[in-house]
Amino acid sequence: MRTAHRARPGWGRLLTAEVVYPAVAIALLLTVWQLTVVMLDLRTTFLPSPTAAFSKVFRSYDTFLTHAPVTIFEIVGGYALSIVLGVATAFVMVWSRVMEKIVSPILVFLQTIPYISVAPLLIIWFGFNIAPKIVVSFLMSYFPIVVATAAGMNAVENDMVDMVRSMSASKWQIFWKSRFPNSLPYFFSGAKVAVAFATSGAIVGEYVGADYGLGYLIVLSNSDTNSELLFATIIVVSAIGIGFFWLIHWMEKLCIPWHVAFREEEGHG
Amino acid sequence: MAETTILVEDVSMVFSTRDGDVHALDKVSFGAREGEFFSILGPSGCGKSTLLRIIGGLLRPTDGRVAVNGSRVTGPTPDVGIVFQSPVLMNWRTVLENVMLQAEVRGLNLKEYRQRAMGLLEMVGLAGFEDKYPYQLSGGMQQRASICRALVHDPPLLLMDEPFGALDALTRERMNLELLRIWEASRKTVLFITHSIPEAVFLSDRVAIMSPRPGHLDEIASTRLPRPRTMATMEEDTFVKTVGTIRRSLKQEGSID
Repeated sequence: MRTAHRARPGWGRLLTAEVVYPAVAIALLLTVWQLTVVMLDLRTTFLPSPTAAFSKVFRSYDTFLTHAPVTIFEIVGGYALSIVLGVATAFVMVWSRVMEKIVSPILVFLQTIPYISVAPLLIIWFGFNIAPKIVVSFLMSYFPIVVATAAGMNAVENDMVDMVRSMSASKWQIFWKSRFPNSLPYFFSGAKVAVAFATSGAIVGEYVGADYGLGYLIVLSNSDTNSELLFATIIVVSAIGIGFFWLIHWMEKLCIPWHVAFREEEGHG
Repeated sequence: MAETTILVEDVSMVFSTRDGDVHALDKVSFGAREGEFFSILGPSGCGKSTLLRIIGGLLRPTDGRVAVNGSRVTGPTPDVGIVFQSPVLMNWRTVLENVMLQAEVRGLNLKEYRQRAMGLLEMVGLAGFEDKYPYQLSGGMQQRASICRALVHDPPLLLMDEPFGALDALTRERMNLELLRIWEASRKTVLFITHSIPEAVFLSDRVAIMSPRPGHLDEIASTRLPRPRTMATMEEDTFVKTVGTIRRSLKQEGSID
């Protein structure tokens, strides 16, 4: 009988694992970076020190307050499209073998397009506004969601399907009761990969032509050889990416508490 | 005697694989009576699980016919409960939700069947575990939950495919006793698949013996042991003799070395 419950990790241990270790690693990295810049007496345009880069974030906060929301909006738009259309595509592929054969090569083709090269075309199609950026963000994050979700929907044991079939279940019931919930952990893995792609997608979209956004700031700082602004922008982009990642991670914990990764107590037979 | 619940006539099954046709079953025929505990005994690869799937309507036989409760099986048999080799519980559902899956899919009154599910869980000793997730249960407890799932809609026929094969010997003996207790309380027709001779003899009214390559039915033996059966039954002469007779018969067929 599995009745022995392992105590939940205490706050002290949790703090060590989740906060202290990563903080120490980052601090070490930043120290090496800072020391390199100071000791080699590097010019700011060559490589700004981390203190300079971080202070730039705060000194230019009004600039970031103008540009960051635009990029965030594009990421959210592209990512939301990816999730909705990605899950729908996975469903269609799992539902029908014929559709899987038709859709699969198109998906691979879409994934191999170098998006930076088609971004100008997207501007011609959708106009000089945020729409083409959302499209690039969507295109880049769509594939991992489809692949992961479809894999999860297919990864149901034959016995499980037979068990539900034996209840005189319809094809839809088999999907809804077994394939769909089974795909959730896979979906979240794909969604976490995709959120990073959605972020770079929005930046790439802005690269090609934009008046606003963090990608625009990167282009601007590059042309002005303003390395301080460039690094500050990279810091802001990373912060946004990490923020989205944690949001998805938190939603995952909320949606699939039964998954092996989130089990609070462990049984011992 | 009561009417025939399961009628299997000349059922053959051929699987086409890349390496050619595999004859899983060759002209298998038998009948199980209403309320009977009927076992199919044989070594691995004799096609006994295939036979169970055909009776449950999950597989279509290449040849022959199967009828359950007088109607021919063409798709998943409507009034049946199946227990598989592994518990096949959904790890995103609690124990109670797993049992209730049967009622949900069949569109039954959930409130009414929830009560029944709780009653069944209590009967198999899982009271207080209804809100646990499968991973919080031992293998034996998981299989008991899956038995509740197979029984919750009160089917007249229960198909069990080596349900205790993955359990340790002690748990297995306990489960056998519990199964008999449940069966004696409900008197359903049970088709039980196993490769354990003592298990088949202990549980069944009749035991059908199968041999592989291709899977065919050799003979049907009656156990003639009084009920209710207890642990002491296993020490009775009739039990020991029946086990011995069946073992010799399997040996003759080359199923045991």
